[in-house]
Amino acid sequence: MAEKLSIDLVFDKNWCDIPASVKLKCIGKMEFKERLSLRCTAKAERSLVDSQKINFLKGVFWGDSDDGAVQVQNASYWHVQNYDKTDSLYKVAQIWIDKSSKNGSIFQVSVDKIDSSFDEFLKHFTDRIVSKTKKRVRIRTNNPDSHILLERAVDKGIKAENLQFFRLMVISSEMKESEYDDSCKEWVCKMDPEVYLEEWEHEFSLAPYVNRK
Amino acid sequence: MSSTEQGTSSAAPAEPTTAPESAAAPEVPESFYYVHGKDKVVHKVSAGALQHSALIHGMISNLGYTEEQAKANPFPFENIDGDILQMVVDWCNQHKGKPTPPEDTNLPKQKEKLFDLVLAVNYLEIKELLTYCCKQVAMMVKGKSPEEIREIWMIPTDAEDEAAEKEAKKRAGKEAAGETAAAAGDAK
Repeated sequence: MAEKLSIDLVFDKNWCDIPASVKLKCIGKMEFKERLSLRCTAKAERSLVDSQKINFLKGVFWGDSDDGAVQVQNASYWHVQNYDKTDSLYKVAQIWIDKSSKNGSIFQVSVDKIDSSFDEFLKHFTDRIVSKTKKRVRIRTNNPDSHILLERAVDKGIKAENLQFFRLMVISSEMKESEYDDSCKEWVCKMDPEVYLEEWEHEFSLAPYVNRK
Repeated sequence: MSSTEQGTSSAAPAEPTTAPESAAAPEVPESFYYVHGKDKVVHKVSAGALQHSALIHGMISNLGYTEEQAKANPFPFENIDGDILQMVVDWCNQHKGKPTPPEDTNLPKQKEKLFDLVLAVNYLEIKELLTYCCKQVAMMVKGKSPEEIREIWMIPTDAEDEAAEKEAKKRAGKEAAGETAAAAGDAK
């Protein structure tokens, strides 16, 4: 038995024998999905994974992954589809305010049609509102150079009966209202192109006739 | 390359395992150093190749070893298996004075060897090789579920960990009680 133990010690090295500093390097080479899997294996691994930030260029999450949403704070663009709670907009905006996030940071979310995310956002930032319409809210941040703009997608072309789409952006405080992008098609399609599918199909079916002219 | 064929004791490193690349006819004479692992097989490595290891490089610079002294006293790495040290030496020789490629496909794929290599490379402070190894370790669990990762890397569950901890505490308590009883017996 003792002999076997000594053989194990010599040859049977494994993850648990690796120092934390090296484990962190290995985690640094993992993709997000593997990191999430590893953090579910044991408490010790969870705290190691959580101690490392992930540099996202783009992130996509589905509605039930609020655990992942908390971790993705430094992405320049990310979106959550079919989020089933009303807290995403003000929570992300608050993170951006706290972290003085850069202009150009974008977060998009699709929620249920009767969801009150927009109102929750207004309630949370009453004292920061710069301008407000049914479609947009602009709030101050702690950085005089940056504002946060919340936009609601309003477009008859959107065929999703049960969904509404929001875009949250860190913008320059000097941006004029005339510079706002009134078309939401592009950013909504980025999340869910299918909501415009019928329109696309229609355009596609007309294309040969248009070309003939 | 069999280590038994080329092995020598640390006191007599007459037949080094790795033939130096520059032994043919180097224009500038290169210094060589000697290392051995757990199996005492001595490996002759050029100073250029050893540059990869911050630990050995530091030892050479700080100790001011001459080649003669180095030959008589190979650097002992008793905590590293012979075959693992051989891999490390081969890698250092292959990448001597060359820019390191972004990928290294020659690393071992077997779990045990890879973790042994990771430990050795970390100890020897070979930054680039450690980066490759860590990437290889990460690749082992690509697309795997938590259960699969736990199985591949033999990670104990929290419950198993707690049970082991309790067991260890119990054992430590018993040992302490035994020691106290023995001390009391001595006092009598």
